[in-house]
Formats: sequence, structure tokens, C-alpha cells
Amino acid sequence: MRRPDQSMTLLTGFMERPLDPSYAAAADAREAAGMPRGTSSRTPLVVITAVLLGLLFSVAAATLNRSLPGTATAREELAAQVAASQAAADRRRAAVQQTQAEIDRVRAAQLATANQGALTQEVAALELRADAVAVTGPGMVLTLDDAPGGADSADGDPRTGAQADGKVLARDVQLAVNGLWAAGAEAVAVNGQRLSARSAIRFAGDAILVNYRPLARPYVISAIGDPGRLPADFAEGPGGSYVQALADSFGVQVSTKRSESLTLPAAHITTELAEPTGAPTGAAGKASLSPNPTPEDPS
Amino acid sequence: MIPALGLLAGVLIGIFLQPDVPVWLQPYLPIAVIAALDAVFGAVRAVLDGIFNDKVFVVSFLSNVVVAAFIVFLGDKLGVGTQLSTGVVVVLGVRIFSNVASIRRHLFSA
Repeated sequence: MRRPDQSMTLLTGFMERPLDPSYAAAADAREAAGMPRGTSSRTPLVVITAVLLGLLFSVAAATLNRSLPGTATAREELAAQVAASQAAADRRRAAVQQTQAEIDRVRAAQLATANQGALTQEVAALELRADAVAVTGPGMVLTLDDAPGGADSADGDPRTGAQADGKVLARDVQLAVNGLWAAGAEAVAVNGQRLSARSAIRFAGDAILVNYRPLARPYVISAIGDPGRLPADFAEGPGGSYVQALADSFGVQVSTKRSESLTLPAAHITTELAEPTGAPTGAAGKASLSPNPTPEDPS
Repeated sequence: MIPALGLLAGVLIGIFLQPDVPVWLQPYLPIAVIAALDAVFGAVRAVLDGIFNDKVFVVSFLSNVVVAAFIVFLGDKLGVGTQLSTGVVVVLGVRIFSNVASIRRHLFSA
């Protein structure tokens, strides 16, 4: 007779007879031989197997809990390499600054012995205009930060995608900085990175790069300028309205603060030797500030 | 009771010795543990049914572990390792649960 659930013999089989049939078969065999159905559960064979089982459990638990050793080592090695590279870069930056200071000192001494007071003043004025010296003065601080609940957490609203919109982009920083320049700022730095004529505010992936250095949020834009007019001019200008729109539409955290004394570091100005390519014209071939007359205009 | 003490001794040996498992063997550990659990619960049920047999216990333990590991190995080679692992876990899990249900019936008559 055909069983109604014959098509499911596999399932019914292991639901109804989960025990190894070999236990029952062995019991029947022992009974037929005139022995009790079951053996003792204390035979050496059972004890050895029990020890093996315990060993398997604890070894598996220990091994699977431990993170794979190869990954950890690789991570540590990479972290050490990054730290070493950063340290080397910091050392070289310090050496560059030291050499720069020495050049300035030697040049000043040279000009002083040559009795070129006017030239000294001109060099100082040019350095100031080229953003090559640290400056201090009153101004304003504009702070941009991602919208709350944005980049750091994954629990933003998935329907509105608020976390993607509330992120400060390189373009936002560019337009804010341009607004500050337009409002009469004399020197601008973003998170301590002084902007010079050769600076760029770019993005790489999600990170904002200024002077090729990645910045971490919040983005603090310090601008030196007339403290009486700069904040108002910025707020009324295109930069101010753009920033306001960011805050209103996307929840970007914007705060403006007047400051009596800001100190901005010197920009890193590299000098390059210009070589004449064709017919020599005029005074080409001198060492000079590399020609890059167009100021940054990212807008 | 004595097998339980043996189990405990094995656990302690493993904790104190902390043997290094070769990397190629590590993917088989979880499935081996499930297979071993199945053998253990099967044995407990057999003891309660009064039909325990030590040779059957040892053979079922070893063959469970070996077959489970072989299935995972084969699955890895065929590119369906995770699916076959899931299959092994489901089958052994069902067996473990029905054995535990039977053990419960013996112990608590519930």
C-alpha cells in the first residue's frame, strides 16, 4: 500500500528516526546473542571519545574566537608603516621649515650688509602677499559640520537619505572660502591649512583635501579681515547665502564667530627653477617663485 | 557520569594546551562541532533508551565528523561551500532537536 506521504520519505525519515538505526541494530544483535541490549557507558572507548569531544569543543571555541593571526599581523604592520611614513613626513616638513627660516635669516643678513633696506621691506611685503608668512589679526571663524546623525552613524533616515545630503562637500568649502575672499578676507585657513594662491580645495572619495592634506570634520575656516565688516559682508554676499541654504535645506551645521585675534600659519610655498623652453626672452632662467599668476578660482 | 568527567577533562586540556589548529583545518571546525554534538545527543538518547553501544557511539562520532568535513571540503571545491555547510547544519540541527525532544520525554516525561 502506498503511504500518503511517500513523496516526502526523506523528510519523514529523518523526522521520525533521528537516532542512528545502528544503535537499534546493535541492540538487537546483542539480544540475539543472549547479552543485555545496551553496553555500559563507562567503557574506556567511551571515555576516550568523551575526552576527544571535549578537546574538539574547546579547541574549536578557542580557535574560532581568536581573530585570524595573519589579519591582525598585517593590520599592525600596515598601521606601523603608516605611522612611520607620517613621522617621516613630519620630520621632513620640520626640516623644510627650518631650512626656510635659515634662508630668510641669511637673506635678511645679506640684505642688511648690502644696505638694501628698501629691498628687505619689499621682500617682507611680497612674502605677506604670497601668504608665505604666518599672520595674526582679527577676523571671523566659520565652522561647517555634517548634519547630525549623518556620516558617523549608519542610522540616518533611509527614506530621505539624509546622511548623504547632510555631508559637507569640498564644493561647499570652496564656495564658503570664495565668499570670504569676496567679503574682503585677507588671509584664510581651513583647519590650520593656510590657503595660498597655489592651494586647492579638492575631494578624494569622501575626504576633503586642502593643500593635499586630508581634513577631518568639523571644517573650521578662519579668515583674517576687518572684524567690523567681514562677517556682515560675508553674510550678505553669495558665500553667506550659500552657507545659509546649506543649513536650511540639508541640516549642515554652520556657525559663525567673530574673533579678535586669529593666528594663521604660513602657507607652504615651493620655489621652482624656471627654464626657458625656446628663445630666451628677457630675464627668463632665474630662480623665482614659480609662475602661477592665476589665483585659485575654483568656483 | 564518567563520560561527562571525560568531556570536562577534554575541555580543560584544550583550554590549557591551546593547540594551534592549522589554517587549512579551521573551516571544518564549526561543522565538526555540530556533527560531534549530534553524536553526543544521539548517544545520550541511546543510553536513556537502554540500547547504548560504545562501538556505535565511537563510529557515529568519527563518521559524522569525517562526513561533515568531507561535505564542506567538496562544497568548497565545487564553489557551493556555504550552501552545503548550511545543508549539513540544517540536517544535523533537526536530528539534534528531535534527539533532545526524546531525551526530554525520558527525563521529564513531558
